[in-house]
Amino acid sequence: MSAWHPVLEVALWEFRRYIKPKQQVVGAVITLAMMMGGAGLARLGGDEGSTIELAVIGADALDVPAELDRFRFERYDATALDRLRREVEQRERDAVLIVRGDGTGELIVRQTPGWPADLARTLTALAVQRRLEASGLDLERLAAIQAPFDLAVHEAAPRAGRSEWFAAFVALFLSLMGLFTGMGYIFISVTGEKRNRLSEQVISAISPQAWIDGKIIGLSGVSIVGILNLIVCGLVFLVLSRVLWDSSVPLPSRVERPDLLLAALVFIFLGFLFWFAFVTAVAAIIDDPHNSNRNQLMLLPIAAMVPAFVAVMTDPAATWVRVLALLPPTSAGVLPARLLVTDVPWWEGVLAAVLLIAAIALVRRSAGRVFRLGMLMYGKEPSWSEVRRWLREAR
Amino acid sequence: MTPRTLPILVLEDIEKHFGGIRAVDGISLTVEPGEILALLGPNGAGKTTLLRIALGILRPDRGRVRYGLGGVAAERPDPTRIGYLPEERGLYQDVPVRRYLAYFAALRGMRRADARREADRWLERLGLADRAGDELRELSKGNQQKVQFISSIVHRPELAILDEPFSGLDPLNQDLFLSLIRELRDAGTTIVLSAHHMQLVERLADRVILIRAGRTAGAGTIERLRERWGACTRLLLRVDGEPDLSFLETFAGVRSVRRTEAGELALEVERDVPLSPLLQEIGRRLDMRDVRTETVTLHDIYVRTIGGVEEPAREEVIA
Repeated sequence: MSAWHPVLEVALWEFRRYIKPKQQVVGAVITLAMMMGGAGLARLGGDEGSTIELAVIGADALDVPAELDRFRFERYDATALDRLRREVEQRERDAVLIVRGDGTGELIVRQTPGWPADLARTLTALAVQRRLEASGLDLERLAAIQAPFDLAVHEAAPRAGRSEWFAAFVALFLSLMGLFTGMGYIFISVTGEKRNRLSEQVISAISPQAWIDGKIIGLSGVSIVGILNLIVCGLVFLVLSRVLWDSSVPLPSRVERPDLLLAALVFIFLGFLFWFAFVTAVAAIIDDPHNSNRNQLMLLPIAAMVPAFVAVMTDPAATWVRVLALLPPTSAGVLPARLLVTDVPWWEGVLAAVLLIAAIALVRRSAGRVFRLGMLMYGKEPSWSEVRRWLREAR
Repeated sequence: MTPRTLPILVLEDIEKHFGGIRAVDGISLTVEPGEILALLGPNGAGKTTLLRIALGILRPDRGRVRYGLGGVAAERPDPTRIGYLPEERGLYQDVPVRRYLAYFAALRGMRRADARREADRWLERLGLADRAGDELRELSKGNQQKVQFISSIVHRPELAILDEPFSGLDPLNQDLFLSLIRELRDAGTTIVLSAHHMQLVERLADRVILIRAGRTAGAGTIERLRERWGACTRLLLRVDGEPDLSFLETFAGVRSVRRTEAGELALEVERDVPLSPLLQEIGRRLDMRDVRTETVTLHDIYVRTIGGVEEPAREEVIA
């Protein structure tokens, strides 16, 4: 029997335990329904694109037409102001617009809606048009005068447009989702086996290292399926929202650097291996998952992923970000983020990869030792000094 | 010259501590191919620790473990040739029976198709063929125990280590497991088991090792232990009234007389002593309604050995 045989058996077992095709389909349908429902509700709740009806006092000052852009204007005399104001207060009317001759105006609403900026733009354009008409200036000449300098930018190494930032953010979000999905499954699997007194049966058949390796590989597979599920749901959502609502999301039109994308994916996967080995060891030293304060150790990966999000949003080339991108375990999140939004010298990528792989080897070995002894300890949790002793023995 | 057969398992001077507790204290034993060896002892005597050391799950603090599985001498266990039924036995409750059995067989090196076929054969043998697709949580406790037993031997091990195989079983299933273990032995599997059920062990084991506080308190075949610890015949008499029994003191070979909870008189008589003169004298002096004999049981030996009686002694005559 080869050394890989039990690892692959465990990996397959774990994968099949948690990936059930029917549940995957049901989960995907529910996720998609939630996405569509959320987007639909947002559209219903929002006023984007809908026609706004306004009562206007002083419409003659700008010669406001009955309808302009998304606004419909109903003219009133100044004497109606008090009545209109009461109607707004009593929710009988959305808004009252007062236009003055000096180019200013006032909008009376019950509470500020989302469209005043649109109204300001519409009224500005109308005021400019009226002023031009009054000055006798030709509109085409004015447009020529105001024409911007047409500066075409040609990037030598085009990076980090809005779509790239968006893609980097989505990649980080998905990797975080994958990390938590996998960690959750590992936690359930390990504490469940320990609680159900299955450890001895398995450890008498295969080495604890083979068991932990199989678990990590199998449950990484479960995570990847979860991520793929989300990606498929997201793509279907984008297609449906484009068809139904004509909405668009700034996705990259093409992958400019597939090598960098691949490198980022490899780093994300290495991060999974690192954290899954860590979580397996933590779960093995928890006796009662409901009452153990060691559950809090499961939050450590969040602390390591936060800098990655900060790097994407702020300055991915800052010194502190570069340092975190080199050192494990933060490198597993920060380096992929940097790869997707900025230039990373090749040696930094190689150094980070070497350090991360070395860290994985160390954590895997230590986790195997802690796992072997932790899984056989029923009824009590090992003290930290015991865990330290196990780790020393692992070296 | 016939090659000498290797022992299946040899434990030499094993010692194991847990903190300040000495769980196993210098036990040595040898398991020969094809035998059924039973470890007997009270809870906490060190039986399970010894079995875990034999399996390689625990490492001894002192001593040596050697294996002769497949006729090859080795210092490490080959899990593909060993089956294990732990005392603390659990199940993957959400998994179908057949898949569970195939998984454990595959972990122990069986090809997946063979594992499924062998699992089906055992399920058929134990009347669970129609439950193969059910999740384990749907099975009764007795059927779950059958599945656990199958999982420990489905890969046809050379050595089966069974920790408390009869615990929690009703008498019918105890008999079933007894016959299954015999069947395994007859098919060539060597069995090492620990148990508290003396009557079953007496019917099953070729040899027993009595363990007390991590040490060997006695070892050998049951017959040999009987000779050493309880070489006597028990005579059970039902007599009327409260007769004077002082005449029994004068009889050579009568080791003890006591009244049992059932109201019978129990006389322990050394096995070499002829019973006829004794029975004639009793018949002459007492109004005897019933008489039967009983040899000393493993239970008696266990109680005497583990209970602290180091050597057989003549008990006080209550007459």
